[in-house]
Amino acid sequence: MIAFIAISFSFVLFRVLPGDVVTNMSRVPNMTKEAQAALRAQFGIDKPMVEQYGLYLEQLGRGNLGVSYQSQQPVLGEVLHAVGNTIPMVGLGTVAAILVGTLIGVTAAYRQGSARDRVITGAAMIVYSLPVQWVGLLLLVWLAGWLPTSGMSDPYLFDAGFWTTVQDRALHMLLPATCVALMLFGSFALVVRSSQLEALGDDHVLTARAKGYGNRRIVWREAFRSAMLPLITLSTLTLGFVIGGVVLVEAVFSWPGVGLGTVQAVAARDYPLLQGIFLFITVSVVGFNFLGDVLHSVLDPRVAE
Amino acid sequence: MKLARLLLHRPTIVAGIAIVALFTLVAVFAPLLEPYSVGRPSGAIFAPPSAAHWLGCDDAGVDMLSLVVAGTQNSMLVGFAAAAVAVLIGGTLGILAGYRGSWSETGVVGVTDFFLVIPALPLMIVLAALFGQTIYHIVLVIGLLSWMSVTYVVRAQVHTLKERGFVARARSLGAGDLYIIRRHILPHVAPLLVAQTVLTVASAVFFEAALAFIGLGDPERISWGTIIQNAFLHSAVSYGAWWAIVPPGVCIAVVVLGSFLIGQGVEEAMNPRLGSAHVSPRSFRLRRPTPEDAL
Amino acid sequence: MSVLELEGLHVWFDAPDGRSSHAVRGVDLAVEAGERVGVLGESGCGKTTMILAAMGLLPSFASVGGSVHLDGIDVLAGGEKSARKVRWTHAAMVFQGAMSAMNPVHRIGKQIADPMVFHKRRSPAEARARTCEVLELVGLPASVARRYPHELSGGMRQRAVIAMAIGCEPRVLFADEPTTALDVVVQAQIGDLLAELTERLGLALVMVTHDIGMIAETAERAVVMYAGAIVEDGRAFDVLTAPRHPYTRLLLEATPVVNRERPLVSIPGTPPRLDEHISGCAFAARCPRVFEECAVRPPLLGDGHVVACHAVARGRLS
Repeated sequence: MIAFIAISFSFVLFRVLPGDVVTNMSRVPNMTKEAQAALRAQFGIDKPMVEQYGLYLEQLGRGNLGVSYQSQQPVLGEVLHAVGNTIPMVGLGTVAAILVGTLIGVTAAYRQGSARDRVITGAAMIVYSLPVQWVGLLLLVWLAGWLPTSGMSDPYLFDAGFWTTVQDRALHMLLPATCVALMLFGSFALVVRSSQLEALGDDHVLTARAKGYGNRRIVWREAFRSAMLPLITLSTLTLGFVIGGVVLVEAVFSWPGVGLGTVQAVAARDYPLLQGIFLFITVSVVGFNFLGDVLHSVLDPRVAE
Repeated sequence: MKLARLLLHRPTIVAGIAIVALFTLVAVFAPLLEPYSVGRPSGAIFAPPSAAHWLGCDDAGVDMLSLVVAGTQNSMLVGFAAAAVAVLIGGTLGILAGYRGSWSETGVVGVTDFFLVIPALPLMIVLAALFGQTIYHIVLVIGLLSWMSVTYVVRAQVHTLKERGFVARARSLGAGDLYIIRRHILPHVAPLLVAQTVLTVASAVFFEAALAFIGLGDPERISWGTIIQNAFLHSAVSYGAWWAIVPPGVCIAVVVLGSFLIGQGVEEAMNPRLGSAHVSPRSFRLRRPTPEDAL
Repeated sequence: MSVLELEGLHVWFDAPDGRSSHAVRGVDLAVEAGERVGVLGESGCGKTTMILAAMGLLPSFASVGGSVHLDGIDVLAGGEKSARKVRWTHAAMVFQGAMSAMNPVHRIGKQIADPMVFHKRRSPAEARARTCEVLELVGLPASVARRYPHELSGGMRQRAVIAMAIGCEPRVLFADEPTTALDVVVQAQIGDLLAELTERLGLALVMVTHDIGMIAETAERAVVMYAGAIVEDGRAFDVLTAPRHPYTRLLLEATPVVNRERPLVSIPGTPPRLDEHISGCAFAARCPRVFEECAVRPPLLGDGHVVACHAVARGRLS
């Protein structure tokens, strides 16, 4: 339901914005009024709004998201291509953040009050406060000699074998993914620590202790099992957002993904592309939220009614 | 107010308040604190930190320390102004939803959920790019996309307050809605609004820097975000001129951290964690009873 | 040799500001196999702390003095490590609040069977079989094993928790307020179940409760605690019908009886603070029979039915 509203919103947004694409293109010399009118007709922006909306939905149903003004290619293809670039990098960073954040969160909760706990909590809060683009820039400054700093692959690499290509891609992905991981791990660590602390005070943890189980088993199988739920929710929410939201990381590292695509599309007033991107982003957020709900009900039998 | 006393006892909150207060002061007195004028160069291009220039110079030879101080003014301004917008919208909607219930609430919740689903930064980018690039536009854009969490929190609080009964009692005595809101609800919601404002200031500062980085900041003004963007565009990275990059980022981080400390501290003060863990790395201890213990 | 022996047991809880609360102040208790003991006392008297200490289930900010021997094994000398040796295999506990005592995301059967496998008492297959046995013993259908805790009623949950506890054949079963928050009918059923189990399995039962009716029904022996120490210990029938200690007398008098018209009385005053040193008899401040001798802590005296009271020892009470 929300998806439908999001779709409509996408449409409305890009029609009410000032200056349609043709005015942008009007900077091209020799653009006469007739040519503008012809272009408008071609893009369908001269029809009444309601009709455009109808067309939009119809085309959407057919999987046709329009054509990008910048590249003259179908929007759907462009968006999918950008998404394909973003997902591996962002996925790597997010998974790393989840793993590291969980580990240190559980450790901090188990050793609450100790020096280890304070260090972990402090570090998480500090790193969480650092602005992402700044972190990216610093990574560039420090590691510029060692790791590739922009783009997804080496433009001068021709006819390389499979493994060389993989290695090249992987190296290029390392810095931006690290940046994403640094951006995210703080919130995971703090959330896990907080919910694990609560779980450790649950009565069934005392029962488990009374059963003679060792601490490690209790921490993970009894307490963490309960504490896991907020983590799952946060993970799915983050994944949903981060696919569209890593604009800053992609800008710093010139990573040709959804974020960078948004910036470029905005600069060029490429509305169809922007519409497609927004559509995709909103759908992905809604989709991941839904996934989160499903996972939650699978893992918590109390909810599964 | 005993609430104030309760909060001020916690070192985290005090530290956070101190940080935010410090930066606010710097923002207010910025022109007086700049060692050099930011209008013209006073050192070499990308000069490293030295006695004359504590933080070095940027790509145009302008003193970094002065830039950062000058930037404080605009960054904090955007932060507070956008937060004010967000909290105003969010607070009003939250009170409306929590107090009225039924259709108003459903409507507000729907709108809030909807805005939450749209990722903030991309939308901000679009709006900022298209509607203008003065500081006022930026404040509006950020504010219009930051009110959602305020609404949620305020609404929850109003619900709790309603359950406490005195709303129903006041109504039965004939009190009008506005009166009830003013006298009963606002005083309890106010501390929450203050905490939310602080948190929103931090996120607004961050968004300002983000927009500036993409090139959508106010070109006429200096802010921490524009300093970072500037460094990026003028190859500070290739020069290895970390001093052109680090200071503004540190400022942003410290402000965000300060507000985070306040937010966390308030959260812990209002919902203290009771009950301790049943499992600990340390075991219980053995102690020899003294003869007095048996008396 | 008794299956459970508490000798000179002390428990302190240390607060962050350095003060400590003396929750259990020198308790001696011996329980034989198959014996059913009810521990009676008001909130905060240390009865729960005492049985937690018996299994070493104390938090890290607790310190412990004296000794606990379970089945001959010294529980406390090695800290948490030595306590783990007796847990569930020699002694098990049924906690207050069966719903929260069980893990909400694991099935009942798994929660019963896992300890058996963990302590190497059974293979997984044998554990499954034994789970059904144990469920039957507590009067639950075998289908309960596939259910989750929130799917059961309060009484069924309590039975399930008892089933969990007897799974590894312990010799002592501790029960902390096993019938609080259950309705009267179920309370009686659980009481009967506990009595039946202890007889069938030769278990010793140490039941902590403030429900006098429960003690009357299920226990053979009653131990009364006040301010961290035992003040009276004897056959349940004797203690409840002919209480000797002034505190026990007042406590029984203060218990409302449903079909007898009596003014409601309460014991004046409050129990002493445990973070301050108590000299002499802890009950002296509230006792109607206090005299000079009470400035010294009275020892537990008597035969069979022991009391810690100077007035009784001196024959000043009937």
